[in-house]
Amino acid sequence: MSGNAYYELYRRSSIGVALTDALDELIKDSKIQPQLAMKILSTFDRCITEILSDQAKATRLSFKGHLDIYRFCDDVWTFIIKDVHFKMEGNEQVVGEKIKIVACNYKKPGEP
Amino acid sequence: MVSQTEYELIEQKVKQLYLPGSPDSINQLQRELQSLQRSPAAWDLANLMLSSPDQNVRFFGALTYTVKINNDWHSIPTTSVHQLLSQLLNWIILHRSGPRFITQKLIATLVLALIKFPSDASTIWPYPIHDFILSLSQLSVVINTRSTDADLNLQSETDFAVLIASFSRENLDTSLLFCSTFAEEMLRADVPRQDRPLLQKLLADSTQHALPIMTTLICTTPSELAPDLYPVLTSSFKCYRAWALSLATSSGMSPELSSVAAIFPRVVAFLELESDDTVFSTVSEVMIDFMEWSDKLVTAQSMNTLLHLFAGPWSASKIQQIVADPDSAEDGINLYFLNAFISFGELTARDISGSLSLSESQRILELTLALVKVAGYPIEDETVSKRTLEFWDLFVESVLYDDDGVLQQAGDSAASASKEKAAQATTIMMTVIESLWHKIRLPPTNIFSHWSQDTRDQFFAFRKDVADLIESSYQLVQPKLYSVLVDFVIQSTSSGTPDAVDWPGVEASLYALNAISQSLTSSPVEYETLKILLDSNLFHLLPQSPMLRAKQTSLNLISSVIPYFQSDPGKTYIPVVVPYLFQCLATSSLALHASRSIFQLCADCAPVLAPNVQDFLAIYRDMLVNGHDIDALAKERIAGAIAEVIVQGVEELERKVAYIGELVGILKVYAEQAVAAANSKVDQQQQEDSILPKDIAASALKSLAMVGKACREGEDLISTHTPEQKRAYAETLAQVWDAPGSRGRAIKDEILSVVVTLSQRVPDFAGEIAVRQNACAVLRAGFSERGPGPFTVSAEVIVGYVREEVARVGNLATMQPVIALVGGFVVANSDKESEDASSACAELLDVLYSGAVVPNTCASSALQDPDVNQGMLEVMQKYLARYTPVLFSSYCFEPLVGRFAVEMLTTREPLVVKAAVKFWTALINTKMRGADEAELVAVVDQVVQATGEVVMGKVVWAITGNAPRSLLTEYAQLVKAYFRLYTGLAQRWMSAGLAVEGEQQQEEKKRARRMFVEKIARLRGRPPTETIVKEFWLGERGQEVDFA
Repeated sequence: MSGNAYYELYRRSSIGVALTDALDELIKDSKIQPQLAMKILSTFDRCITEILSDQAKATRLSFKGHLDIYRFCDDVWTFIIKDVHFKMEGNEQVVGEKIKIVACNYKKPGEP
Repeated sequence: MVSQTEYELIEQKVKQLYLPGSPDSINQLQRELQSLQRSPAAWDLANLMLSSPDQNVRFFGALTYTVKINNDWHSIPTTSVHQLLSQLLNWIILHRSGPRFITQKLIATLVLALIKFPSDASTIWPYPIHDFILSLSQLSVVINTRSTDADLNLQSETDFAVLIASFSRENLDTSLLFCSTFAEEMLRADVPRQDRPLLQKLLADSTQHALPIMTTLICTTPSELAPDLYPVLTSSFKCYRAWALSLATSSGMSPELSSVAAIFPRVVAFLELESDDTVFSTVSEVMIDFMEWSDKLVTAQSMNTLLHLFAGPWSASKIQQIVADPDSAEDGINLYFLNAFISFGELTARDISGSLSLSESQRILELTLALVKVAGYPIEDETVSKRTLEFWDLFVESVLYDDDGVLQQAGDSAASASKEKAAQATTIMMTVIESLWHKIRLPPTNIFSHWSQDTRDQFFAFRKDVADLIESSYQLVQPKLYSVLVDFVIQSTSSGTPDAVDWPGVEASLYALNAISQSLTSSPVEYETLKILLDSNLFHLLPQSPMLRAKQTSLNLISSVIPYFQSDPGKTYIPVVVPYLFQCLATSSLALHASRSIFQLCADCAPVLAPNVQDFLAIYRDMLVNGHDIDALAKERIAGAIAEVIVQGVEELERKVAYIGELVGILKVYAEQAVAAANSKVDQQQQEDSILPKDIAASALKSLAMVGKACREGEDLISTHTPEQKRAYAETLAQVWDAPGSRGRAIKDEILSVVVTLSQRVPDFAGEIAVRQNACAVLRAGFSERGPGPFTVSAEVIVGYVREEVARVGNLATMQPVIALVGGFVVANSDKESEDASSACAELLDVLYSGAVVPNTCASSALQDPDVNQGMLEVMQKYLARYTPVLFSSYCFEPLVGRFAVEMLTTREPLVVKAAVKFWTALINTKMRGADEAELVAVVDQVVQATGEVVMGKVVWAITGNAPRSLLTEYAQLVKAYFRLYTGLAQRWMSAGLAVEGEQQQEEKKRARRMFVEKIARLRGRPPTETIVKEFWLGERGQEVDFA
């Protein structure tokens, strides 16, 4: 993918929120311009997508639950699953009352 | 201009740079030379250096051109671009016979110059490949510029072909290098987006001139090509690949792309040149890259060529070689072949699954299956079988799902065809899984012990990949596979003697069964087969198995089929499985796994296990006394599990009490181990090697808390009783657990004594967060009991405990569990409305205020503990919801609410701010309570009005740009609450807060603030209040652009 083709969904993760707060501080102290902050955030969008895809250690996990709601809009899948049982490596299990899965296509529509 | 003397000095420095020297001197030289490369004189310097007899100096000259173009391209006028291109081309002509690294650098620089001026390229240099070739041929610079088409001096197609045919090997190589660099650089990631279309057009237009160069050797007959031309042939392949991929990436289908793709079969033909590793590897790499872009680069004709190649005798002979000698696939020709074969398989898996009756498809499947059957252990002896897994996954997926990813149903319109296909695919996959079953068998210890850790890790990763394949294939092969695996286990264990069992085979079967069990739906037919397994000798023989891994895998399988044991037919087998699990507890490496299943089974199937309680208690006592190396978590789970069986399974109350007493007694011994360990003078070294006394103490308390949790859940059993029965039962329970001198009361005292001893009487454990946390957890367990029980204690006990903990607090950071204990007490007693509970709550609030809040807030902000602040705010919110009058009438109300909760609104800790906002929002929302609480609402009203100005002052401070963006949502919630319920007052308070700067404010800013307050007031807490707050925050920070 090139240019601005990366999703911005990781900006709402803890690390994304912390980065945004830090950039706000730098702008407030006149150390950087908002345009640079935009560039940094778009670099963050790209890097976190690539790092999670390429370097995050693949821990196997399976889960079962009741699919409550699903939708597919603008190439984004959303699933809300209730009573979820996660089974991790070594049969470690975690139970969740409700989870939301947002899944985007790695390549945006029209890209090769 | 640079004088001769100056230049000689510079040249000397460049030469020095390439000589060995100290890092400092080299760094110094680099700094000096880099500065020169950026100076205005660098253009002249570059030309002077490129004339030097020294090759390093010439290279540095080329590099100087690159640096200069990269840095100064903005300032180069369009009129000078032609001159720049000419100079570079001229240097390439002059250095074409010199060292390749200089030519490479010059060519890269020439392409860079072209990329930097894409908008001018179409007029300044519309046909770079053509002109480059012509220049090399004529040994003089030819650059066709386009003022009009008539000005172009282009060779006809025939003349151009003749010209290339007459090229020397050197010219051909230089031209291929230029074409490759040109194609690769056109799509560099840093090329600006707006320039891309221009460059893509330049690439497409140049294809007609690049193709004859690329195909000069590619279109010859492989066997007729002289071996000394192989290096140029390799360059041709690389150039062809670069050009094709650039075209494929940059555009849709085009005539240029088609003409390039049409040559692919000629490339494939060169696979027959097996004698040359480089040619073979390059051709296979081109094939793999093309297959990744198959939709654009592999035509139907090419696909046919590939199919015949990989399904043909040549491919079969290669596979035969690999199967005979798997090491041969580690490098060289066989490795490259295997890469290409696997890529082709993965590309065509769907086509193969759709044409299983075709001989070519069958051949590809046979050959891939042969690769699975390669002899030896995966990873250690061979890596071939592992590489086929992706193909089989794709194959199964293609059989099961249609092109849109929808599961194909047997009853579809094309039912008979799809049934036949599924039947054929099932047979194939059963064979594949059988072969893989052999592959996942664990080696004997004498072999396994020689494997490196990396090999072991990779081997286990391979097993997991196989498990995934088995799981995904299961929809296809269905219960047939389950039966086959169970049959193997039964046959292997049928003799009834452990020595006669094929344990690696049994382990592999259990491993595969575990993989399948994870994907079973509720009440599957496989459970009938599982019954056969549970009826077999397996669980009688497993304890005697010399293979530890077989036991581990069996534990995983049990854990996977817990739903079966929870079903009525499955409960019959619990007495078979649970004793085996308890036996596994004696082995430290199995204890954790076993304890998890025990915990699940005991909680769900307690009545079935009730007769075994005495045995379980004996095993548990032994485990605590002798199992020092067993994980603490396992010990805690088992305590909880046995308690579940006692509470839910044992019906007779007297026996229940006796068993709980025995269990608490065992845990008391466990606690005494912690005290003894703390009292013995163990030196530092010994402590590092063994479990620390404080960890034993924490584990003993945690185990007790698990027992408490089980007791709480047990009370649900009486929910079916009539009110009268419930009352009678409660009275009986009170007699048993609370009557002085009763056995129950003694147990209760024992529990309290353990809690107090470990958390308050042993100096070594004082202030240990884990000990305090678990001690509080034991006390909290009693809060949830519905009637008298072993863990229910009086309010007086809780107050006394909290008072002592607060008095002894050494480290504020460990106070959080005590604060949470108070919170739990408040919630648990909210429905009792007794005087005692109310006064205990009041006392607890005062104790916490003086013991936790005062010392914490008096400390400097760096020493304050955010967990204490957050915990206090959460407790205050619980008081507000359940004991509002207690909170309001407390002597510490003013400092707690009026000062502490206000100050916390602007602390730097996000979680504390969130808790403070929640508290204030809850306080404001109290106004919404019903008319029956009118008196209370009136008091709250007064409190909100009295604190409104100061709280709003804090909010104003936050939203005028001082709070971090991530907390704006929280502050907006508070703004909403105020404006929804106190609109007029909130408007006045906010206006006052925003007017603090008074006269010094600029008119414009005053107006913006006034408009903000008016907007917010109009919305009365409705959307988009939050958005407006955020916009206001941005404006106050002076940020016109919102970057996020």
